[in-house]
Amino acid sequence: MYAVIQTGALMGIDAEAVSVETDLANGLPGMNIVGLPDQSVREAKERIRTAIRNSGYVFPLKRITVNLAPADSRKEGTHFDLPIAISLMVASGSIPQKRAAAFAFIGELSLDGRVHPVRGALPLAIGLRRLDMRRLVLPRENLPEVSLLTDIELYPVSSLGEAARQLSGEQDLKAVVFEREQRRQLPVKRNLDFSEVLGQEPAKRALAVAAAGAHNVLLCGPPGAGKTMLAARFPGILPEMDYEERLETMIIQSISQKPGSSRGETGVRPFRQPHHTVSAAVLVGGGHRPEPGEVTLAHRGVLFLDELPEFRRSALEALRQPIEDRRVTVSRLNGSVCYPADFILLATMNPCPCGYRGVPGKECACTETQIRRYRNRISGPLIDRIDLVIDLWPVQCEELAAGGGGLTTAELRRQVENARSIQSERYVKNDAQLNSRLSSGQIRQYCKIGASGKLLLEQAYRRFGLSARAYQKVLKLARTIADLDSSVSITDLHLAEALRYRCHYV
Amino acid sequence: MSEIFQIDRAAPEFPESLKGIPRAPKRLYAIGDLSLLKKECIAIVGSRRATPYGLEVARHIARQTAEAGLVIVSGLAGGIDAAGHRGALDAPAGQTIAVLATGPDICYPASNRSLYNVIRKCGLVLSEYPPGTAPRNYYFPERNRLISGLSRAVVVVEADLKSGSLITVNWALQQNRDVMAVPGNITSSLSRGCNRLIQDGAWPLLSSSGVLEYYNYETEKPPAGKTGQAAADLGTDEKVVWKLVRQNDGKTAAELASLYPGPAGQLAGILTVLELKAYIRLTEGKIYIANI
Repeated sequence: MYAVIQTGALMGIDAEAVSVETDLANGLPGMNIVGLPDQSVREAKERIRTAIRNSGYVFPLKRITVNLAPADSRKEGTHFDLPIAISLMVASGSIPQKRAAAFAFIGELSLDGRVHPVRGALPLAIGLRRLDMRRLVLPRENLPEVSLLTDIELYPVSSLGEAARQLSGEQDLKAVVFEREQRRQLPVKRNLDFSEVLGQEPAKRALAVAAAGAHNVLLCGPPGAGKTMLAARFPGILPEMDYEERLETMIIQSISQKPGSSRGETGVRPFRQPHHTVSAAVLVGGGHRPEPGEVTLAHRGVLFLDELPEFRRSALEALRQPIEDRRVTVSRLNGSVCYPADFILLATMNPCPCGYRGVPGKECACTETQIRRYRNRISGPLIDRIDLVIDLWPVQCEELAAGGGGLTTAELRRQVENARSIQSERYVKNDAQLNSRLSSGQIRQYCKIGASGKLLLEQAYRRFGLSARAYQKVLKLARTIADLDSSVSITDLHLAEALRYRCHYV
Repeated sequence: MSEIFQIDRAAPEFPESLKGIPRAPKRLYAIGDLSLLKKECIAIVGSRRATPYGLEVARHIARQTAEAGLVIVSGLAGGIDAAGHRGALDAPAGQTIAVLATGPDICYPASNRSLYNVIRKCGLVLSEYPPGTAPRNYYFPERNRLISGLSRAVVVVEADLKSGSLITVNWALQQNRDVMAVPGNITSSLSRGCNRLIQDGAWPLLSSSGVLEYYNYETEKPPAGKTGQAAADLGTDEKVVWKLVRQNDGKTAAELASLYPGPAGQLAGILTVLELKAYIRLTEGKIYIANI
């Protein structure tokens, strides 16, 4: 007796369809799973045997062969439990094949027959949908994370028995179909506001520029200047995510978080803050089976590297490729996986190893060599990928006392959203969506400057010793500043402001 | 590889100033322009771990002094030494001599290699040690007697109470050279040496043209438009910011922004323009009126 059931296998953030074939034959009773199962799939047979029995069904005393087709790709994950169990029950006649063939299944079994949530339910559902399998039986706890999908029928189950009863017609089948909400107003936590940062208006402005064009930023200043305070408020001025972005971040959550822990889509952009002792593998992804790293978890959000020079050189250099390509390829023995990694890099550093260089009232005892060594920890290629460098200095007491909040998060965010909509209108025909993503050809096309602007840049080139790469950065930044101003052309003042954000010492 | 000259004491190139000093070198090795040895020299020395203030001042003094045709002598160390050399090279036709404690073909410290290469081309690298000599810690105080010996005056920009610069000062006193010092904050440990020197009778340098004034050189007046009231090549907004900077010298951009009525972005742009037009300069995040 033969049965076939549909499920999927995860390949990074993608999924491919897998058929679970089961054959019952006469012979010595036993169960064999073939089709390159890894340890977690091979162990499934123990869970399945007990779960079927404890759900009140008969485990066939036959020679059972399970094949996971296509048989040449590796299968891993515990979500194969439920499809294998269902396919076995179909083969043994407990469930009619005709009904079961209309569904795809994912779910992990517990010994008492309950269905546990699985990792990667959302990418699996998306992968199956692409292959036009639009009916998915899945663990109930996984329901919130797939709620962004509106065009598939979801059948949440809590136990194997429930699934079997529904499929054999003893219980009603009830599909859950989510509706696409019209830009749901999400209760986003806003307990951090830029108005709480006193006397740092130039830095706030610079961060608004960074947010508007998705430029990478380096905040440079002594301890107590407000670097971390500003950084923590930065995600608040980023525009809301659109549907695609929300889906992408949810997929990454789905494969990286504890199974079923997701409370659904929150609409909050990721803000990742790895500690500076982080290894290269944790930062960009790695592990025996390639897991997403911090750069991927920060996808569509912010990667905040506090105390940038304290990070390991290997970790920082590993960042170069993801920053450039906006995705990262992790290759391991068990194949290579490509994860998205489109983030804004927000980093901080001190002006010198002790931190207090140039601060009135503090003695900095760092030698020139020490300072150079400290700054050299950030390599030229990495600094090249940072568009804005913001100098911060501690605010004097009088100013703190004077109060006066200045720009608020709401106001800055309005400016940023305006600038973003100007960009998406302009780049409607391009793959570049944002000013920071412009190629050098596109810079020539979109960042045109007049004769006086050229003269200004020429002066700056001589006086400040700009490199060719810095020249391009200035043009991209000036474009963003002009967009913040709702200005079609880039004026000299826009260029001059962009020059303010150049790096002073590399 | 440029030519290494060997100058014996009897040779005509041998500087007169070094002949009279105690323990004068028998022989000098040099790379570069030997004619500098015949010119009037001023030594600029100071701490290797100088503050931004010291570096700025050293560079300015060197530039102004070099502009008047004097040669700046220093030891190619980091900090004040390097700032002195650079300041001299900033001046049009400015000239500088680096006196090394190694062979003249060796750059020590290696971090000053680019500066060393420039000085070899446009200035003079001098040493009493034969080519190939590696640095030894006791060469440095020995070398300092040449720095002071070559010069008419030794300018100490920043030095702690115990400092190699004070060794140079001692040589200068033995050799009957003038000693000048730049006063600094009494709270800064790197100004203690200088302030003490002034107390002990060194000539205090109260401006970057102080050396020239002391020797009655013609000093170039700072351009009237820049430090004066009117500024012809500035726009209306630029004039507002320029006035603001003049009233608040040495403030950070954030502090100026709290005083400026317009948006912070506009202020940032205008500050760059003023910097490009050489009205202001930025050091370690603070904004100063240019041309002190």
